[in-house]
Amino acid sequence: MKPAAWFDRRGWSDVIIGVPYAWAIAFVLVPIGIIAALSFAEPVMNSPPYMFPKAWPHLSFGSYERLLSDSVYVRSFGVSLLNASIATVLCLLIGYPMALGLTRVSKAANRVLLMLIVLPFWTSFLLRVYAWIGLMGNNSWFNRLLTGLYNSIVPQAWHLGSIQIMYTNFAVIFVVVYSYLPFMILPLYANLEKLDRTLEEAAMDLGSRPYRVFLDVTLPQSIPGIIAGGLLVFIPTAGELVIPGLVGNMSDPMIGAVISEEFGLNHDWPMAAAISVVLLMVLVVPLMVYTRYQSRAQAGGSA
Amino acid sequence: MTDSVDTAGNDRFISVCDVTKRFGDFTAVDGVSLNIGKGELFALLGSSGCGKTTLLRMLAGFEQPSSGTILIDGQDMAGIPPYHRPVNMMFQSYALFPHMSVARNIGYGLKHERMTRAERDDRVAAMLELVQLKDYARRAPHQLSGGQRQRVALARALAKQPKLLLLDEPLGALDKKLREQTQFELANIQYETGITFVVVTHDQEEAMTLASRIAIMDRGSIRQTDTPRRVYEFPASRFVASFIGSVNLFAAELVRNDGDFAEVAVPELGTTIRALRRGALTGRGRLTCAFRPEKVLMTRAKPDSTVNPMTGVVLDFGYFGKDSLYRITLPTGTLVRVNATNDLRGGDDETLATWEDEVFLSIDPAAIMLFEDEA
Repeated sequence: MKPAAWFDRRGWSDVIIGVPYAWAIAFVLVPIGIIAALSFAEPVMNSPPYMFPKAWPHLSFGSYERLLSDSVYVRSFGVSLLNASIATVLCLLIGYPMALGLTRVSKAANRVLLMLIVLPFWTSFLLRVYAWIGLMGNNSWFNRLLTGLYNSIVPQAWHLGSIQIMYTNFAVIFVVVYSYLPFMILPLYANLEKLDRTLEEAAMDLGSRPYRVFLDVTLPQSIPGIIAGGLLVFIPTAGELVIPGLVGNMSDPMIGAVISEEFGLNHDWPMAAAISVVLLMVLVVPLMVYTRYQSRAQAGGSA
Repeated sequence: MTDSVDTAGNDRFISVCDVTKRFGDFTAVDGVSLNIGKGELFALLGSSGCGKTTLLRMLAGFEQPSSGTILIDGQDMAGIPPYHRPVNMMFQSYALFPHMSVARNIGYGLKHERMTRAERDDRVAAMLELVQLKDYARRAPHQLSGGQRQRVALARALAKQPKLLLLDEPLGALDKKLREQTQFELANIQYETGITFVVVTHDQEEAMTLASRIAIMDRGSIRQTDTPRRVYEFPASRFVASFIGSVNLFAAELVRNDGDFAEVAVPELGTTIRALRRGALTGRGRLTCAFRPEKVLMTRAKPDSTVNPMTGVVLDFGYFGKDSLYRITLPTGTLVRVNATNDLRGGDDETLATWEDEVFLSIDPAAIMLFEDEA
């Protein structure tokens, strides 16, 4: 569509396009630059609690050295990435059938089901996590129910008074999957809904049973949706602070908690900044690779 | 139903028997019976919503009939899913897999056959050869033109050597020039492979040139099944006559009905018309007298002797190059459409009739069609 005439006149278009760029520069690039710079400072007991070395090149790599040598940090990265990976895979396994189901039901049912998926967003995220704390606690009816079920199956010797769910890694993954599931379903649904259903009929017509149709036609074409949903779950989960803080095992923290602790409790701003930079790299580099791959695929697609 | 096609004694290769398909309250296909011979190129012709696509989808197995049976090569298709039918389909949108190369698209259906890899590759190569796309095996579908995609879709559907190939508006997405060429190619490929083709189309020209027989569908029922020539020249009903080609239709009343000829009074033409009778006239129902515009002989000079003579004045005309369509006003005020071939080069004002000219019309009694409508 041709832009309106006023849009072309006197650089209006530059202004309008410029605003979001200015926003991104001021509130994304500049803060990242500040954090990156901070990571090369040294912590001091002062205000502000950091200082750049007096000697050239005025950069300290101390925080990065400690980050790589201290197993606590490395382990936290490991826990975070592992939890995020498990949660992403679980979200995909639960979300894919749901997204696919959404494309196969009647219009009326589709509207209701989509509503049900979005509905939890209408309550505060924190409130929903607290609801799970109430359910998972050792004395809750939910926990007692699970314990009763467990005790009725296993031999007497293994009976438990209650199942420890709270303050475990399991609880973290469970609540993360619960919280982030819509972020997997919605992009997947948007992708699956666009797919041409006659392609599935064509595959079936050529001799493929339904499961082969899925593997040969539906799944390969939904990869962009899987990646979009996967990133939307993986990236925030890897840096998740609130959920592990509320239901997780604090002696084996995820990286978000470590950053928060370095900034707050330890007043070690350079260390916190260094961890943030490394986390950013770990998350952004694969994203950039994917974007590059996708834009190349798209360039191929329009050739 | 007149079956004048030689089907080598195998004229019930595909047998559709009293098939009805309902979607809720809507009856898409209503008691259709149909026999298609082995190796025939059969067309289902009808306007959109007439049930032709539903019938095709029932042959493919995507829909199950609400009642009735479908036999393919003697085998009852009831409950047999699409992936177990000896039937392949060329989709209107072609439905090529965008994430597979041309060769993989064509070879896709062969994965399920008991074939060695070499056999499969040979078959794909043969198919590429058949549709003249040898050099395009590695291309992706989006790198092909519309006509090439159409040929890939055809090759993919033929690769499994089905007993029956279904084609849903096979030429619909092609431009006019390409259609003409592809029409003949398609007929050639059908002839070479000997596979039974069933084509669904709303385009009568496509159906006429492609098919050995045509079934004309309307509101879920088949109105006539015949060769293209017979459907055009001897339509079974007023509906078929007006659906195929153009036609002049007038209400008529039976005056005399003896021997080989019938005489009908046509008030709109202000005369009685003599017609060669085909089949009995019961005298019940609404009688229609019809004739095609090109069957009318039009002259500017009064001819010596004429059959079914009429005079009129040229109201207007359209010049199409090879022929012209005239609209003639009769003394009764009725408009008659007349098609005249411009078979003389130049055709100056001497020979061609023009506005306000008085012209003389005559129609051979054999060209007059009489219909008695049920309704």
